[in-house]
Amino acid sequence: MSEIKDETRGADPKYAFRSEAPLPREERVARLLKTLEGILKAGIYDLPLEMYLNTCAKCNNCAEQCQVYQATGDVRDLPAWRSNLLRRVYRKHFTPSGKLFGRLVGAKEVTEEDIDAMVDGFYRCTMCRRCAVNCPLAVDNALITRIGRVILGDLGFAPKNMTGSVKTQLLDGGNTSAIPKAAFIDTLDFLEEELQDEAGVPIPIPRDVEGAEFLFAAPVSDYIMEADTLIGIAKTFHAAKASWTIGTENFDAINYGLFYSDEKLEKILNRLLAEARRLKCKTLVIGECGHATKAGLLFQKVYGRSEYQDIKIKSILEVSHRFLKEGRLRLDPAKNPDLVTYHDPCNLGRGAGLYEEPRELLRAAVMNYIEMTPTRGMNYCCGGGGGLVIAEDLHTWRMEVGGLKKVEQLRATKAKIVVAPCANCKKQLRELIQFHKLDMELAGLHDVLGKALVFEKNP
Amino acid sequence: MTGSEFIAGVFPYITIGLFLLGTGWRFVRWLSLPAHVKWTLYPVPEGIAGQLRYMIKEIFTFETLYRFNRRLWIGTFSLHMAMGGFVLFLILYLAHWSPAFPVRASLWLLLISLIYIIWLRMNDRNLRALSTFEEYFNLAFLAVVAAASLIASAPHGLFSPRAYIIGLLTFRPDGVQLTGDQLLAVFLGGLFLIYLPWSKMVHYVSKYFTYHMINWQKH
Amino acid sequence: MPQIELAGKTYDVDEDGFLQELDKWNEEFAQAYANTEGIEGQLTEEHWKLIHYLRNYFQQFGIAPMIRKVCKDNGMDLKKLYELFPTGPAKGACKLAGLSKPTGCV
Repeated sequence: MSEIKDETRGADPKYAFRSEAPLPREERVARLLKTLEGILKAGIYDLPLEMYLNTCAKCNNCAEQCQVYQATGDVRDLPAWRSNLLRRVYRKHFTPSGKLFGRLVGAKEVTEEDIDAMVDGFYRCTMCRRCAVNCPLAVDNALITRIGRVILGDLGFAPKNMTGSVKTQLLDGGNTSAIPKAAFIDTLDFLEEELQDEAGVPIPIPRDVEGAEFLFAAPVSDYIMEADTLIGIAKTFHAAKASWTIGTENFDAINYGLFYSDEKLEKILNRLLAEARRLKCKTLVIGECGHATKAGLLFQKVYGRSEYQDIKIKSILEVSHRFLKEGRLRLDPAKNPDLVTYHDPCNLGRGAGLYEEPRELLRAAVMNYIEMTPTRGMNYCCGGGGGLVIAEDLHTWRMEVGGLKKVEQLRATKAKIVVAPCANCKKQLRELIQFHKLDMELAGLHDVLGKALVFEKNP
Repeated sequence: MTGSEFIAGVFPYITIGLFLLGTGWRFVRWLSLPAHVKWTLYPVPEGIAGQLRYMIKEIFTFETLYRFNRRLWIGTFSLHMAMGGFVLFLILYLAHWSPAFPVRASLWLLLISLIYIIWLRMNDRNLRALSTFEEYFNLAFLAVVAAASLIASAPHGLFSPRAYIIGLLTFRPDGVQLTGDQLLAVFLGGLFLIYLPWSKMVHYVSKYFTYHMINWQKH
Repeated sequence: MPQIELAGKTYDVDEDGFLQELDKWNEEFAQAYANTEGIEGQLTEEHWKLIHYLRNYFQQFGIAPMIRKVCKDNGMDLKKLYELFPTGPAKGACKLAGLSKPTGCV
């Protein structure tokens, strides 16, 4: 096999993933403290962060919930151990008792080696929040991971694919998959042809319609990977006779800022809200994407510009579910005869409470449905959450460690189709199915819904 | 005023005062912290009734630990029940509704639970990896208080602990007759109460915030 | 910059082995690369058809087409695509066609 010779890669083989430009080693400690101080002062996370950094009882209940620890049995993968990497630094530098008593109260001066451990640890956590569900003290390690990632991001540590995608996205008219506008239009035209072929009636994908009620933004990768999801969504809007549009200036809902940078999160979110404003749309609808939905729902209030506060943000699941409840969708479940199971994306389930909406949609659209075990609030993560799925370097880890529990769970359902309404989960689950040779296919929720939708040929 | 008069007659009031002050400060501090980002964790129990049901079940059974961490649950459940039992039986004892025996039994249970947890933390691979000096210190501190209280409450002399505590409660402290071991128990117990709200063991306050103010704040 | 040596020639690639410039591509590159992407022996006519299709679209639009479009325009289903390129259309086919690495959630 031919070998890629790469000087930069060899420089730091101890990291599991490549970062674009980490700070020189000797500058990291000082910067980490400065960034942490900034986060504490910024007052965005005040209450949860202070609670989580102060009150862990080290009971280790989280280990039983963590699918990463369950797969490795490695002490480094104990959620409380990982969180302690940040907790002890916080206590040493930002609490009176830590300053006074140091190690006696679990505080520790941060070292370059500790930072290495953070780079390793915080990218072995998928931020799934399963561990928070059964924490007796209701501590959420995922927030600590996120704050750790934001700090590391400031130190220049974040998967290169992630930071590179964000750079492309923040260019004028940019998006994370670097789809040029002309290619995007060509893709929409192609999808319209497919829609006509499938439904037998013309179904438009409206572009730049000013004053439409809904501005629809998909995770842009859908325009390469998920034709069926997009077709299903167009069908759903059309069936419901909804007023909707896609914005051709900014059509990417992805917000990787959620995984490593508050600054980027803010910029990306406001760019998207600006597109809704440009087209005078009241509601921004995020496509099948967990993290983008959560980034919008949770952070609009804190990071959205004041002039965008009146724009509503909704998940496509909520919107389609409302159409269903209003009787605007005619569905024929016989179009989906195979056994279907549903994967709760962490950010839509535990993160946004969207448990019943997708299930009610599915039950109306398929003949045979089976729940996974465990399900809803305790569902396992796909194993590529927290943005790990886009770090190509972590592929083996995702297949052999992160997604191991998920594979067992999928296999046990004996379902033919696993539905996951999240671009991140879709990529990971598809790779898991291929890697572990599961007799199963992956589909988006609207793939299935679109298939079941019935249109009058001659209205 | 002699040192022992101070410890027996004045120090308990200072102790309670500082304990309440510390607990109150923690509460007010956390209440004052905004939660701009709503870090809700779904599903949220339905309504106030659902949340109360969850909380009460968790407080009285430690269900989450019971389900996933049985070995620790044995220790920590009996520890907390021993503390509750101690307070309850002490009140009954003071009111002449109960003999001293259940109070002492609670202290024994407390001590045994603490020793068990310390042992478990030292011998379970994962708990050992997670435990720092702080965890051992907190457990050992409480164990010393429990042991001192057991020694002090052993029947000796003519002086009744009941008379002493009733004296404190009615603001007519009479501690002249306290023996050395009793003074030690009062002193250590007092120190622990002062330390408690400033330690990690402040979860008797924090749980309200992490559950009600964070996990269960709907968007 | 990372480099790779294939069939006696050196190419500038990114860290994952994707060619940096579309123009530097030639058929020997694709053939020599094939076995690292799980393809045994010589590239078949079907491989070449797909490779040239991808390159043409890329030349026109600056990106690889939607996977569904690839299938449709070439009259094959996704299964067939994976049979031809076991590491997948994005990683395998695009790499052999000399396209730059797709970014984002793909």
